[in-house]
Amino acid sequence: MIRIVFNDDEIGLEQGNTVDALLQQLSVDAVERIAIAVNDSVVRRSDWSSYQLHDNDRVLMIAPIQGG
Amino acid sequence: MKQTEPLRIGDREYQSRLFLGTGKFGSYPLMRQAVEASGTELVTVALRRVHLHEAQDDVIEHLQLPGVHLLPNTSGVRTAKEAVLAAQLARESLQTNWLKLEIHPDPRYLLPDPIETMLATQQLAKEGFLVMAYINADPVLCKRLEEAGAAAVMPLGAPIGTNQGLQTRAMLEIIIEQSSVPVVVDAGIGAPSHAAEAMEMGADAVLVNTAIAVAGDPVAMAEAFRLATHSGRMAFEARMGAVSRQADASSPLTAFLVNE
Repeated sequence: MIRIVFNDDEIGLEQGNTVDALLQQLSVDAVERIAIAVNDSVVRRSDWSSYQLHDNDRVLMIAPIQGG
Repeated sequence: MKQTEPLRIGDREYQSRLFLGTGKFGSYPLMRQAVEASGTELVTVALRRVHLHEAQDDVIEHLQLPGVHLLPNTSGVRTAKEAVLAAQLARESLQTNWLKLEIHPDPRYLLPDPIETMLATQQLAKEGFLVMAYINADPVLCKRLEEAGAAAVMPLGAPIGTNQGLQTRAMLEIIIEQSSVPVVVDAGIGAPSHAAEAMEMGADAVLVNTAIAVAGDPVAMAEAFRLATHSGRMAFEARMGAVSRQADASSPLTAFLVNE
């Protein structure tokens, strides 16, 4: 099982190594506004089902919030 | 109400010269009502890491208003490198290349870092972003950012959230005189009169957040700002009279009730 860092937490991927599999494992809702970067590179939504994560990858997931 | 000239930024035209920040509102419904009352056509949002243990509330759902565009900001980044990544994430998240670039690592005064902002602007302009750069009221920096490809400059009136008004007015005047891109006075505007003042000076727009969000009645305050911004722009377009040191009588200077 590969381990990645998701935002600030270390987690193991149990359901598959794609970005889509990760989102499923984490039960992420409101997918529409979410954006993802792996190792400081944006992974586009259209690639989520194919992009393979590797051991020690750093995954950043952001969403919009209130702000000036 | 007399219409004023629309403001052109990039390929868009704005009828309203009041832009709104969405921070600090106590609830999404209140935020939405304030946005509506302000008549704004451009609102900022920030980005944050998703916290899985929190409920996933979608702020954007509450900002889906006709004619209102979103402007993601890069608040929270400390360097140009982080700003570029944040911009790319924002573009992916919101499907817009419009960006409010703000890099202010010091938490006490939240003053924008001019060097990181310059570096980020250069890179982001190359990557096709429409960069609106938040910076200190530095006329030389504003021209350099313009040359680097900024679509607008956003000089501060006073530090973010202070409501102090146009502390930097002398520099803002120079920036407004010299800029070839729109000048949006952003940060420190604390009262509708400050917004009117900026518009009378010739600013192209103002961005207001705190003054509205923390008011006793944010919705009423949003409307007050709408009127003040419009009023200031009307005054600018009507060309105000000169300021003088010596008096210049408004009524005839004839002796009153005395035979001459």
